[in-house]
Amino acid sequence: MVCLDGLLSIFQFCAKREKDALKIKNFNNLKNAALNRQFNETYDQTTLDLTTKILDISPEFFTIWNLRRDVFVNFVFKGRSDQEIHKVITEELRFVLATMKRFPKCYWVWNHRIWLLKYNPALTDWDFELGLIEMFFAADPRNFHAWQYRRIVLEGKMDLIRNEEEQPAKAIAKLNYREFQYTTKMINKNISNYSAWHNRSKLIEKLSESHPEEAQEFSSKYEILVSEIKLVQTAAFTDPADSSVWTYMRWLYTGGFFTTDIEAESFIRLLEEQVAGVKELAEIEKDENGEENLWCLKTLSLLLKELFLRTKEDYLREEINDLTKRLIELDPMRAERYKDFQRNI
Amino acid sequence: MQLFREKHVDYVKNLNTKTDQLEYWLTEHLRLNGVYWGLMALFLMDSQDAFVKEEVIEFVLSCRDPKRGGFGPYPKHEAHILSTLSAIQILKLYNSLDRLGSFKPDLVKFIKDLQLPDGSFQGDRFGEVDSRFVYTAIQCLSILEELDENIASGATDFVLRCLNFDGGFGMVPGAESHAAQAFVCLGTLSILGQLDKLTSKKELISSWLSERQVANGGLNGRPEKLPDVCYSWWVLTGMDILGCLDWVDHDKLRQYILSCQDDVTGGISDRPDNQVDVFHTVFGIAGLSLLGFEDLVPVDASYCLPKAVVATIKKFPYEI
Ligand SMILES: [Zn+2]
Repeated sequence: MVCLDGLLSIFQFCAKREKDALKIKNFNNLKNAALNRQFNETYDQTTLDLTTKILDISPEFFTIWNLRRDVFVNFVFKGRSDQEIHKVITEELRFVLATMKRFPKCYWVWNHRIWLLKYNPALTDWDFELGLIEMFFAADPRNFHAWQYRRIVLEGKMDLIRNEEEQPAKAIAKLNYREFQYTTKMINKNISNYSAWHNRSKLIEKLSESHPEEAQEFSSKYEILVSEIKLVQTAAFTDPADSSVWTYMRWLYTGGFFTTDIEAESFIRLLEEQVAGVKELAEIEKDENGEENLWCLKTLSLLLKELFLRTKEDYLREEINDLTKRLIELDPMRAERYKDFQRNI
Repeated sequence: MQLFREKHVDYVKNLNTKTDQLEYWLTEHLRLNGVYWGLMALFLMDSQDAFVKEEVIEFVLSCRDPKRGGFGPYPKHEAHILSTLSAIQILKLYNSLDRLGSFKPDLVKFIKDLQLPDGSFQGDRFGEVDSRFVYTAIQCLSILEELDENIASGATDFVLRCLNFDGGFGMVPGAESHAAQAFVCLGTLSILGQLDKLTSKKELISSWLSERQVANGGLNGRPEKLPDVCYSWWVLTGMDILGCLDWVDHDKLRQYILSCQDDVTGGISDRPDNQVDVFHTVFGIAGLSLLGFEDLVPVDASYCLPKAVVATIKKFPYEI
């Protein structure tokens, strides 16, 4: 039986080789023709068709994407009106979309799409692109490329606003606020959407500088912090095992962004409330799961450190020392980190 | 478990004989990078003689893009900053930068012209920007000893803008944290001698890096993702550069990397029992070297070259 299996796989291997040999010949013919045309700068329909065929097989072949753009600029777009070029670009965007669906993680495909959108940004349908992103998020709300693409599309929209609107700052603040609300929506759908939390932190920095009138929660850093604490507190109680919530909480209290412009006493009060909140959650977790939630302990030690730095109360230092001991026991892989943490207070 | 040294040397040596398989031809766009990964793996195992030096150098020089001055990944392909670094690294490994000869001025110009007004670098003439390209360009110029104050300060500012709320770094300012980006951003600052710009964020960054180790000992690239051998390099280098290499468990990581070896064909894969490739082979071995295991040649975290090679590169800022 073993031998038969072995024989069978050898036959299959040979069949694949023969098939491969044909494919290799075909691919290498296409490739050599295209590369020669690139070297000689022959930009015509034949070259364009060659790139279509090659990219269909090998979308990672960036030299061929470059060649394709060269053909567009030096041949297809030559002597055409803006509207005519726009039509070609719309057509090309369809080709790119089909390739994207087959190879959603290929950088070069996304790049090509961005190049097309930026060729004449005034004619680009940026909102269509946002709709497209929704489609990718429906499949995977943490799609790295799609989130990055979303930021690029918005940047494109904003560039347009800067060029065309009378009061661009206002319109941009509005757009940022809409994006901020979008992250709230995504987080409410699924608390462990790390990408959404990340984007939120970036938008908060922008909105604290300039926000639309209706965004009451952005009137001061204190107001922002209080409303973010509410959100992250609820999230932590909903899914205490998820790291994104704790990472975000760490940023709120230790990131340095909120500590400026907030009165020391108010900040201490918020810290004390949070310490109590996390302690409560730690107890609940222990009761329910029969074991400690590491994130609770790690966050607690960070919060206590911030408190200690501000109040210099000795009992806080003792609490931190106890926590460190427990962390070293429960998470020995990172023991040295906890020791350094304790040492550096 | 042990490192299957001889098997890995054989695996790397035989990479170029797989010309009857379609995959070989579909990966031309990475060929020069692949040669560097293979050669670097051999250097770390002190087996560089498995490749024929003169053949490799000839291949590197044949990848030069005469129209643009940089190197493509394969003859007739267009120059890109990623393949250009591989070319320069290979020549440096062989102590053969002089083979650039009269090509050098155009090469330096190709790299410098890729820098944009905000300090970032694009990968080629079509404008894609990524902190990876900043690192790549800075390392190229460092090896060629062609850095200057202007280039350095622009690159430093850009890389610092890629730092995020969580202590990780993104592809561009605003982009989500990813371990590969931590390596390139910290590597850039390290090569440029600008690590002191991070002092207040050091603990946060180190914590983010140390959180990458998961229960089975492997490291992942982002929270809640699976571990992967190549992150042994992207994450560990950052920790080494920041001086907190001991914030993860070395023995567990060693076990994880070794469990990803193929004991029949040689080579290392991303996860146990997956198909091996040269990329994960070199970064698995480099990770082990950084941790001081298996009696490997010591590797430099910022350059991914042997320490002895890096010692011959003039440090920036240059003395006048
Ligand atoms: Zn990998």
